[in-house]
Amino acid sequence: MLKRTDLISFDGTERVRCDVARPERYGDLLEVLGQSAAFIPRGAGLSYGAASMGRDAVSIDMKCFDRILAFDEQTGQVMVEPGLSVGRLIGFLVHRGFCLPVVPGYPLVTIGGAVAFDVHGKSQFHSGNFGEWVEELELWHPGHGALTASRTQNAEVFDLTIGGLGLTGLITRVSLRTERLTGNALEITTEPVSNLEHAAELMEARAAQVAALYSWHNFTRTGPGFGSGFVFLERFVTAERPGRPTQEGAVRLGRRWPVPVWNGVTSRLALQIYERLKRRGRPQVLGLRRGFFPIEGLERYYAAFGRRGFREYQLIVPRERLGSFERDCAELVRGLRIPVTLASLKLFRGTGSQLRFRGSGICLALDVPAVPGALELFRRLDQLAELHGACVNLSKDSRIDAAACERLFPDYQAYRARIAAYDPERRCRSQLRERIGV
Amino acid sequence: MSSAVVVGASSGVGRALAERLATEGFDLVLVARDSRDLEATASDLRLRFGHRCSFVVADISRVDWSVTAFLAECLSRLGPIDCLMVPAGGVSPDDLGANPDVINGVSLGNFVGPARLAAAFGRAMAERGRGSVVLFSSIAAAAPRRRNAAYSAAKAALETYAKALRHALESKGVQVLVIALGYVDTRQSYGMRLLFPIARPDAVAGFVVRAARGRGGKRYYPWFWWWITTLLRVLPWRVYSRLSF
Repeated sequence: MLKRTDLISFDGTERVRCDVARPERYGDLLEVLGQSAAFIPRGAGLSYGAASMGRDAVSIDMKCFDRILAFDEQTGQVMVEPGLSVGRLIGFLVHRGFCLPVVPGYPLVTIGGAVAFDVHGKSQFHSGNFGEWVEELELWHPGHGALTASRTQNAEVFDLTIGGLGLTGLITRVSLRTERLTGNALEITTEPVSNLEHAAELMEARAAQVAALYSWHNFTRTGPGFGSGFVFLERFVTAERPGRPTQEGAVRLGRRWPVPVWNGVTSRLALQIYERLKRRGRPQVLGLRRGFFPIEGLERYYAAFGRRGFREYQLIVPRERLGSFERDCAELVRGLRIPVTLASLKLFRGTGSQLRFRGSGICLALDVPAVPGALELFRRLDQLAELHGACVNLSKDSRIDAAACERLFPDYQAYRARIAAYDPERRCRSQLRERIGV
Repeated sequence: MSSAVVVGASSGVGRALAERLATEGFDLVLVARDSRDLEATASDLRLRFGHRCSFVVADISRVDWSVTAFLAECLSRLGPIDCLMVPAGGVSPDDLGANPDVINGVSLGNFVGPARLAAAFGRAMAERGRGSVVLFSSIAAAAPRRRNAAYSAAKAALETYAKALRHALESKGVQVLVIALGYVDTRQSYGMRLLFPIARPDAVAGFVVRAARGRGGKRYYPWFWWWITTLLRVLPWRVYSRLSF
């Protein structure tokens, strides 16, 4: 029933030899849990860090638990199993006039994974994070048995589970609130911007009129053009031909080409071509699936990092610190000469807590190839994050250690104590947990 | 609207068959031993496809289980039944080993239970003049090995029984089909190092539902197992006895 195999983090930088179980029935699930000294749930395996794997823990692959259990046609509330993919759930909801208010970038992200990392989407500034739409959870932990948790029942467990990195046990059911759809397609308007500050101003000005927004920037340009790019503004519209139907696609992220393609020359060339093409762009009307999941169809971008993988840094910078952060960041990137293949902003509103990726400000994501200098760049970005009071996203990271985590998250010690009290025997164990020392 | 009963629908090939049949518009009764799995699958199929889909908790390997009462229950829920699929059964870790009583369970689950279902449903279908019964065998029936002797024998018995049933019912409009499965990516094979490619349950389900529309008989899935089992059948014992598979 167990398979001994190598699991690799989504960014390709962590490889762990571990036992994997893939239960198909609830009886199998209880058997695996009963026999495992330590375990960690596994969804689509798309976490950038090794969140669903551990050297001395059984990874429990939940892909067979992917069913829709209940749906209220009046309110749109839906109850599902945790292995269901976001893409498949949206396919179901859209046909019934509803949608998830928070949609992560990949359709294969599972609902369990979305809860464990409290994921966000392009609409974070008005819809918040995924956890805010979770009404109730059922989970199982060897020390606590089966639990139902919500904001009113087992509230402490509920709070620890939302963005809890899978460390509170195995989620078996999730009830979610959804929203009524206001269109059958997304109209995407592109506006050019000269830098991050300009993009942030534009996003703030347009936020009230759009359903979602994000920006793209070219960090490979030299001189005053550094950071130029576009803001993408998305609105729901009703179109006669809304494009491809919303069905589960064949996204296969995680495959890598044998030889890395991204370097200083290729990234500069590719980003300049993309920028020129986008400058000519007119408003586009896309089907909901294409609009929701911009990465779908761009799997080659990730494959082109090759087997050495890539690294991503994502943080929320307080709005008033963005200007100075941008200057410091530009200086770092130019100085270390690391090719930045992606730089993107989103608008965030909320309050941070625990190790969750929440807060108010501007969210910046940077992708770089996993070259030796990348770690130095990210170490210095950690210093900048600390200096500017930014919040770092652990789900997009594969190298932050306990000391850095403690410096970056004010709630670190309190969260550590709460998890230790809930799971004193450390039955839920992952490489990520070991690395960040909770 | 067509109707089908899937026995062994809680996981693997059975669950994939249920989903495939629901996709094609069938009303369904799902059957297995565990109610929580069945309830989840039935809810999912009902919500996604909008057809009637209910479940019955039953253990077809029990001697005291009443197939007649079960048939009546299915008829009351679905009306006339167009298709019965029985991908139930399974191996025991060592059915030639220390405990000879294991043979009882293996025979009941892999031969007696499916054969009783085929007989009861086949007769009901014959009265209507149409229907199809799909039973599931294994390549082990043609290539018995030391690790699952009783399982191989039970599947061989099921194939023999199905052939006789086909002989009796084909002229009355009922097709009896046996699917001999090779390696399928289910809990039975998970984590095993296998010599030949492994089939996905949804691919098996697609093949079976297509095959069930045609004539009865025996089909192999994946197709190359016909060649392998044919070769194994003609191997001299001196060679066969040295194989470790």
